[in-house]
Amino acid sequence: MSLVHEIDYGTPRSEAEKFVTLIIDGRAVTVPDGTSIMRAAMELGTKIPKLCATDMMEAFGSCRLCSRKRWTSTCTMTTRPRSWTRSRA
Amino acid sequence: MKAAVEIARRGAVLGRRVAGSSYTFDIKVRVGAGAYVCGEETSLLESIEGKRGVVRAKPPLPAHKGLFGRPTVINNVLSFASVPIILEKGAAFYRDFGIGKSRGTMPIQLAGNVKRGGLFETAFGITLGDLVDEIGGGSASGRPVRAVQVGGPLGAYFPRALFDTPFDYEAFAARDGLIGHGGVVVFDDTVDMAKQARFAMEFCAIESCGKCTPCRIGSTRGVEVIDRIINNTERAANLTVLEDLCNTMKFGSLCALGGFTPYPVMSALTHFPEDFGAAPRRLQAAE
Repeated sequence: MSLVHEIDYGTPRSEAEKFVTLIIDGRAVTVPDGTSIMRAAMELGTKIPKLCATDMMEAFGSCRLCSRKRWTSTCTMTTRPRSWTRSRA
Repeated sequence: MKAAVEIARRGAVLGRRVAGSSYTFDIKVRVGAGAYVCGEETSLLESIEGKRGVVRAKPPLPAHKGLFGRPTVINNVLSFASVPIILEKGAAFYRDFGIGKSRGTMPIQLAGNVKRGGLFETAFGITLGDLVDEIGGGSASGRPVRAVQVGGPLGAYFPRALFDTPFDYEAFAARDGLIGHGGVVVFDDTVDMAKQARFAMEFCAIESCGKCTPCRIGSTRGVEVIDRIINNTERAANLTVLEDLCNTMKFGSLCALGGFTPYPVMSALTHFPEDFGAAPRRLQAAE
């Protein structure tokens, strides 16, 4: 019996009807407004490290593993039209 | 505060029809239970909502989603207290106090081992040395002042060599310090700075809301690492670990509690390495 591998997007799907396009690491992805940066990245196949996030729960932002710097954890940061790049922090 | 609000309400300055106008404006005082972290704006909101004082992730900023999920403006009492004088004497009057980008005045709390402690309001720009030696009158014990912690329990320790620093946000930041809420705690030459560094980590461990990992776990690990340094257990290696841990806390913590704990720790280590059993090194922040 094999396991079904489900993709964990990190945060729940946004129900917004408006869509926005983000550029992450130079690649464009179109997601509903209010989508977390973490989820948008996962839509592109980019896994952002996380311990406290899963797509069955609202983002909590406590483990800080997905942060670029203080106050900008990618699980709690939602879409805004601007470019995001991977950092080696 | 509650008495002052009651007087204002009786004088029709607060409540319905403020001062005979058609505006309604009121003040309600909510008293916290004393948790340090509830001074952080988002845990303050949680606390007012009747929940445990746990920091929220930002964004959304409180101005977008604050108290009970509604847009909320948060201001320090310090800012409110500056309003009457600005309205009475004009913006220029207030602006003409201070230096650089730090305008106006600051209420400074002189405490610790100081001859004349208390609350002093003065214009920005006074040097740390003038504050401690002129206004404060030096140490209460009569012994030489060795270290001063500026900004509160999470402020940096400054040695005498930095007493020429003007009380100014940028000038303190340039020397890896902070003004914070204007608390100044004076220590004489009997102080053990390694113990003070340990106290900062211990304070963070006690006061942490426990939400984010760098602050919750980092502070407890910090106490342990400093204990090993004090007991000379692999001192050199543990000093490296401490610097690395402080870096993680400073940039990884969710709020300023974990984010600022490295200031007292690293400033004690930088300016008073001899207390950690390390060879004194040159001041990095002094130029």
